[in-house]
Amino acid sequence: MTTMIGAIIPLLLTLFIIYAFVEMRRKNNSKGTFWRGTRLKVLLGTYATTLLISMLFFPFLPYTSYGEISENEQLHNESQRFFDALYDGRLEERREEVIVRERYQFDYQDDILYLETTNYTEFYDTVFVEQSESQETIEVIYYVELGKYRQLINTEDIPTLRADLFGNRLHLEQPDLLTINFFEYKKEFPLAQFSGEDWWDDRGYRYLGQSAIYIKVPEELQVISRMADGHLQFVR
Amino acid sequence: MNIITFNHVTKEYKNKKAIDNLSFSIEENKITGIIGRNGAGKTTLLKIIAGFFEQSQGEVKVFDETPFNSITVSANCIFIDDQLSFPSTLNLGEILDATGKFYENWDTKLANGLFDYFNLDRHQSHEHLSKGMKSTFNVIIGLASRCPLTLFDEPTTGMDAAVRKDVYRALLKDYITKPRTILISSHHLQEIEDLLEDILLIKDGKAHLHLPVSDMKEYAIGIKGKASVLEKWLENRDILHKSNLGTDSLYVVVRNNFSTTELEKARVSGLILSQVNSSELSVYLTSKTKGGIDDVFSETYNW
Amino acid sequence: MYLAKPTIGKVIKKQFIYKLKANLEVYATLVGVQLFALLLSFNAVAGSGGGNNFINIRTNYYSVDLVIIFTMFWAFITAIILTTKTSRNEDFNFVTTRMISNLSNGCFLLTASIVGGVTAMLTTFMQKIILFFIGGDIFLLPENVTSYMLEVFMGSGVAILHVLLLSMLGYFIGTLVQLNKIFAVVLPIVFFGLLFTGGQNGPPLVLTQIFQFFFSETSLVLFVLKAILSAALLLNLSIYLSNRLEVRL
Repeated sequence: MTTMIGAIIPLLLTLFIIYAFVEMRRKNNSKGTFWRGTRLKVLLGTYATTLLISMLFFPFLPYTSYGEISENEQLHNESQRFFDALYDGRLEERREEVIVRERYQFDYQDDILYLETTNYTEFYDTVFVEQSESQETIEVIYYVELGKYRQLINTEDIPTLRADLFGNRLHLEQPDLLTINFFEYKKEFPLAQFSGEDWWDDRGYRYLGQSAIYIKVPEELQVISRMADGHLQFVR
Repeated sequence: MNIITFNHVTKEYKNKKAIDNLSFSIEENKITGIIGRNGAGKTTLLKIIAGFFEQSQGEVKVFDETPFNSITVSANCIFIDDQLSFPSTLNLGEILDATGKFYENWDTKLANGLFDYFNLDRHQSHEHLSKGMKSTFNVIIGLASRCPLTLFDEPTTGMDAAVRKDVYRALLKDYITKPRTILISSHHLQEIEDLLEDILLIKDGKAHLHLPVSDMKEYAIGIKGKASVLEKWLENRDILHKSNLGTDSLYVVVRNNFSTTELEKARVSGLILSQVNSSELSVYLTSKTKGGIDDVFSETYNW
Repeated sequence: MYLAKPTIGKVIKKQFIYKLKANLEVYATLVGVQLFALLLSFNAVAGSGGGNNFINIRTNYYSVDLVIIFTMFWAFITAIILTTKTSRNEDFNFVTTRMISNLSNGCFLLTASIVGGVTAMLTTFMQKIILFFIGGDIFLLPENVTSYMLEVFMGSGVAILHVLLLSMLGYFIGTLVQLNKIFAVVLPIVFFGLLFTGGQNGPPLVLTQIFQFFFSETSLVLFVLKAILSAALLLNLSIYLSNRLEVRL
């Protein structure tokens, strides 16, 4: 609540200033200075106080940041590591980074399974199919890796994959895109001038994360994709 | 002791001499009137004394120092004219307070007393004052700062007659309480005549006359009479003014260096002698031509 | 006869205190300028976008660079106003000499630069708080708030010097114009001339070099030295040039 007030004051002040300037213009026509005496002192006092209050409240703003980012965390490497782990079936070992966003399980008796989606031109995820002996059901897992933003985004906020089984058709629905607007500070030039670092380099294109649809099926099940080429990969 | 000394001082402006080889000196604790027509160089003279302008040639000493960039002169000298302007952020009261901080002899009581007497309001702003009020306020500053050297350049501009009288009376009273060197410039001697001890008449940037007011009365004599008789008397005399009265009568003002017997002879030969008062004299002395405005018409229309 | 014999230091102090009071309204302008710039700085200074199969990220970067730059302009204009005929004449209402007048103006501009530089830097906190409430989905604060704040305080010192440099430049230019009105025409021509000559294949632009001399200096110590010496040089030149300038013309 207190921070709320701290935020509203400058806003009100800004509006007040706009009003004051319009007013000053009006009064200035009849010569003389509008900002003098007590009025001037009140203006300067209010401004100084607002700046000070802002400064005092600043450290108490809810603290959010990227958290530590390791040095070797680069676009290429991270992506590679994700898929290496995926092909090795070790994805779930990387609990730190990789989230199981959704897990569907279907009992299935048929020999053939068709994969389909409503509009395959807008289906971007790659579907990985693992045929394994031990598997008796169809298991659809949606893996998500958040990379740079893993500390900032709640798992529940990530749109998830829909999977439904209609007869021998497994219908997959691409998750919606999660759009997030970040507001980030940039060091002012008197600060940046001597820090010797180029702020842009530091923040540029960090790893944003990956996602994958992973389907485990019994070994003898034949999986046929009705989606675009290349969207289906067989693991092992 | 001389407070101000000018030694062959010339001040040029764009090849025009505002002050031309001027030499004079002014003693301590005297009120001197600087009299001259508009553009005679009165203001330039005062501004050189105040250290605002720098002379082109010659030597200027004020309190034994060259006034231009002298901190002593600035601290002990105040220059008041109707061009005085103050920041619009300060009201009259604040201007008085600010001035008081700069001048050691500042008399707050006097400033406030005069301030109230002339119905000024501390909360008014200087630029909103009428011309007369502005001048009054400026004079108050000039008086209350009580500088050893106080310069007034046409101090009564815009004031009405009653205020002028009050202002001059205040000036005189304050001078008596605390004698100091005061210079007042005016193109109108009559108004300040009673106040002055000395007069410095300036014409075309040159000092025309510098003498006590009391001597002014003796300085010249007016003679009226038939032109034919007068012409004889005027040979080798210093004619200050000459005007025609009717067809064959003349009125002349000449430098009074006649002996008593000579004056007696004049009376006998039918000339009417009269005293010339100082303000009349100053007008004659500072006019461009001997005949004054009459000359323009006589030369143009052959009157 | 008793004559007041004030020392130069005392008179400078009196003139300085008087100027603080008489020119207090320049800070009203400063508030206006800074708030206007702050309003403009709610437009991101930079943006980046990115995304993958499930996420679409748009990042906007905010700083109060604009407020600092506007404050520098304010100081420049304030200094020029101090050199105008009216201001000089008003100095000579009271005890002063040309040097005292210039030095007290220098003190005044230094104070104005300190106020301007510090307030400009501090608006960053105001901006971040407002952004936090009106801003995007996620607002990223500095990694380490305490060290960022310390950096801002140190940056205030640098900002003060930037503002001071501009004010002394304004004072110098204003003095030149007072000496001869022709500078009011010549200086802008020279400025734009320098702006559009050189570069490309030719030698580097003079203005760019001047700019880099100050803004590309990465050593704090060197920058402080450069800024202070340049400001002092500009003020000294102004004092030297205006020492024969007549007032109350």
